[in-house]
Order: sequence, then structure tokens, then C-alpha cells
Amino acid sequence: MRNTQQGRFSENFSRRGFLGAAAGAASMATLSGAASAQDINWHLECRYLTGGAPYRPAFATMFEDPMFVAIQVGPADIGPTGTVTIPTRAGGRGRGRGPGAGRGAPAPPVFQQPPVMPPDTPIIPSGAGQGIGSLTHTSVSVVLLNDQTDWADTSRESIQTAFDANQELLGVVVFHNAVADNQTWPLWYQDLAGGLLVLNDHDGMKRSTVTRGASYNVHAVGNHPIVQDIPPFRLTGEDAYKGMHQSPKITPLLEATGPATDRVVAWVGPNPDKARIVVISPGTSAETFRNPAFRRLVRNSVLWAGHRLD
Amino acid sequence: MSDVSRRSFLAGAAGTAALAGKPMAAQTTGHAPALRVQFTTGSHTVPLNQYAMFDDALFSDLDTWVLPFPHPFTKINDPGGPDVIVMDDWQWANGDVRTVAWPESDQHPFVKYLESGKGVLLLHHAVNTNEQWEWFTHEVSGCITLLDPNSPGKKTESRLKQFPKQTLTPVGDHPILKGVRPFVLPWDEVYPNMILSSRITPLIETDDPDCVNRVVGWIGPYTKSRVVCFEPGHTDLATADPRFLHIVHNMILWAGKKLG
Repeated sequence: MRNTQQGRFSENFSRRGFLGAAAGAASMATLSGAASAQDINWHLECRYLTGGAPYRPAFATMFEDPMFVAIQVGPADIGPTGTVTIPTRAGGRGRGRGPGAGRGAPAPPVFQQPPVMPPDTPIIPSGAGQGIGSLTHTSVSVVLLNDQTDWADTSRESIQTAFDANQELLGVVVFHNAVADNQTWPLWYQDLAGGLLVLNDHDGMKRSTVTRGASYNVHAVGNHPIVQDIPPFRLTGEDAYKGMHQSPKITPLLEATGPATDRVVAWVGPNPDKARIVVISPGTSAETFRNPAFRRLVRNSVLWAGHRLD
Repeated sequence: MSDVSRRSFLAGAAGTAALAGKPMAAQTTGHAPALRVQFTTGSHTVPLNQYAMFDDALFSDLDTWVLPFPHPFTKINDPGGPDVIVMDDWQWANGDVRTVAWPESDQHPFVKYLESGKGVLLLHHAVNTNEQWEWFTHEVSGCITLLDPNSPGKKTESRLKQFPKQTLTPVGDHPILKGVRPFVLPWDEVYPNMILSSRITPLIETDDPDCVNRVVGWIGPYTKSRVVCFEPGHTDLATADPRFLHIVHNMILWAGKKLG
């Protein structure tokens, strides 16, 4: 939680100031091999998609941390129909190149509504030669999912088509609620996300259990770029998922210890060449969203999903 | 600190102490939340700061969760449901200039909730939600928008006007307005062609010359529960403004019968 209202105000402006004046700062330049000295003026345009399940406002506050300075998050919530489409990447390296290039179709309203920026927003040239002021949905790089819905058939069909055609989908980071998305769509939970919080017994899967208010330790595993600088940390007041369906092809990122939780609680989906999808199953308590190590995990996941961390 | 003394603090210090960085609500730390609040969005962009404002220290006396569409009202009448619902949705269908009505499966629990006497704040987009649900616009929001291009009295062609610098001025002495002084809210969005019911109670006016009706904050006509509407709130700048936060916070407290 912020300590003061003044703090929120000045933080807002200082963030912009940082963007404008220090886009080439070392902290950004060292994020990725892609962020070379010749390619430092970039940002990732992200859509934050929620609906169908509650979450804490601290989830949104997390993205205002200066560590997300290169990540522009535009919320766009689902309507009554629950339609979601993940467009395919539109030109590589996180930026669109030409209307409709390589996209899945039809895009839902959330991707047809570019975020409206106040007039003082600085225009920052990107590596692809586009600035914030020229936003279109083709410039979306990463989708942040914290909804809990079964997506409409039209959405599923467009993603299936793109997947079958070997078109790379946009990067996706799946948070907490969204681990239960698409209960009846095996492509999603087997080949894309690579996991599912099972809400009811079906298709040979047993219902997962959810323990509220759990506390448990987590630590990074493997040598994936996402977890290179993630120290062990403790989660409190969290939901613990146990009995999730998990594909044997996922790449574990984070493991937990405790009787109420599955061992692997964050992972990379099974087909990173077609879809850079990161799943982070904790994420219900405000304390988690305020945890610096958790924030760094989220930041690294977004950057990797957007091809800015390799 | 008691509720009363906290209010006194709000009244005396808002706009100055808030800007100076005093953590108003920190004084309630350790107390049970005053109200349970559900923030519901859907189908349209909402600035990140509008979600984040509920995480501000000023709002720490509220237990707030975000629950966007679809089906946000399924549990609002259950034990542990919200005392106040804050809406900022905007839903439409291709080919129709009016926002669509919520599905009936959402309307029914919402009406039951209102009839039980619990509060609602319609924020920004939501003052124009449900334009195709006449009962809602006439009895709850008290607001319709002139959409016909030939409507007499329209001042602008567009449904909205973006990024004016407007001065917001409190009207009357409603408890919501305690501590509220006129202030400039920069770079937000206004709906110039709104027409308000004669049964609303004005709270806040804009000086934007393109507005058919200068009232941008009001008490809705509904009588069984407290419904309050506030039209600003489109940009991160507006929703980070401590004066904006103060008004929204007061509106929530009033809708939940903790103020006035």
C-alpha cells in the first residue's frame, strides 16, 4: 500500500520523467540481449484482462512499481459474453508492423480499443519506429490474464487456427484466477498454458483443492532467464492450489513447500516457440503483490513473454 | 480514532493535508473495515490508477475487491456481500449507439441488492451504462445522453470530449462535499450531452462550456438505497488526483451509510 497520496502523485510524474529522461538507463539496457545500446527506447504494451473472479486492487498497484517502467499496462475488462482472443504476434520483438499483420481474427473489443493516453504522455520512439501515440491493437505485446472464464468458441477457434498454422501467439502471463480458464478446452490447458486448476471433475481430471489463507515458502528452480535473479521468498495469506493438472512438458520456474500446495507453482508453457506463456499460480493476497521478489518474478515473466528477456 | 473525529479531520484537512502527504486513513489501521466494497468494470478500458486507487491509504478503511463482468452480481446478496458496489462499466454492441442493458441474469440480483438498501456509486463510464434499460436510467442513474444527431440542445457532435481542463465546484452542503473545494481537474473526459433527471440532487458542477448540463456529480433518484454518480475518472492523472480520491471516498462512505 502506498503511504501517502502525495507519494502516489509524485510517483506518477517521476515515472514519466524517468521514461522521458532515462530510457537508456543501465537498468533497462541490461534487461535483455535484445535491449542493446542501439535498442533501448522500447516498452512493452500489455493488456490486463480480468473478469469472472475477484481480485485485490493491489494487483493493479503492482504494475505502478518503477520496476515496471518499461511495461505499459492497459486494463481492458471482459464484457458479459466473456469473449477473449489472443492475437498472434504482429511483427516480432513486441511491436506491430502493419495493420492486421499476422493476427488472429476476429479481435475482441478489448483489443480493438487502444488505451487513450493523456496529452502529456511522452512519445517514446520504439525499436520498431512506433511510439505510444501510434498505438493500435497490433502493437500489443503481452496479455496479462487474471480472468476466470471459459472463452467463447470464436476466440478458441481463432487461437486454434493460429496455433495450427504455426503462427506465434502474443506473449501471455497467466495469473492466479486465470489458471482455471477454459476448463473444457484441452488445447489451452495442455498445449498453451500447460496447466489447469480443475474446478470440477471432468475428462479424467479430479477437482483441485484450494486452501485459503495459506502460508508457504517458494524458491526458483532451473536456469530459465525469468528466475535468474529471484530469491526464495515466503507467501502469506495466499491461496494454495493442490492437484492442478500440469503437462509433463512444462518448464518449472518456482516450487513451493507445504502440504496444501502443489510443488510446481509457476512454470513456462509447453510450446514456447509458438506461444510464450508463463503461468504464476499464487496471487490472491495484497501482501503477495507487494512482495518485491514476486514483483520481480512478474516483471521478468512479462519481459520474457514479450521477447525482451532471453 | 472515532468516526466522527476522522470526519472532522477530513473536513478540515482535505485538499491541503492530502496534498501534503498525510496518510488520512492510516489512522484507522487495526480497525475493522468500515465497508465492504465491490468494484466492477467491464467491456471498456479503465485507467490502471482507478483500480489502484482502492489500494491507496485513504481507502484502507474499506475492504475492496475487484470483480469485473461477466456475472459480477451472482453473490452480491449473499452473506459477506458488498455494502457498496462501485461500477465503471461501459458495454455496447456494434451498430447501436446506446450502451446495452446488462443481461437479465445480472439485472435481477442487482435490483434485489438495491431494494435491500445497499449503496451504489456509478463512476465515470457507468453514469452512461444500461442506456437500453430504461428503469435503470430513469430510476437509478437519473441520466440519459443525447445521442440522436438532431437532438435539440446538443452542443457537440461527439458523445464525449477528451482531456479538457475543467474546474469542479461543489454545489450545496451535502455531507459528501465536506472538505471539497473548487479545484482544477486536468486532462480528463466529459460527456457533454448528458441530460439529468429533475429528481437528482446536484453535488458537483463543471465549468466546461460544452456541457449541456454542468452537473457532473449527483445523487440519483432512487429512494430505497443510496445511489451516487460521478462522471470524471477517465485518465490516470485524474484518478491519481487526491481531490478526486477524496470525493470518491466520501461518495462510497455516504452510499454505505457511513457518512451523513
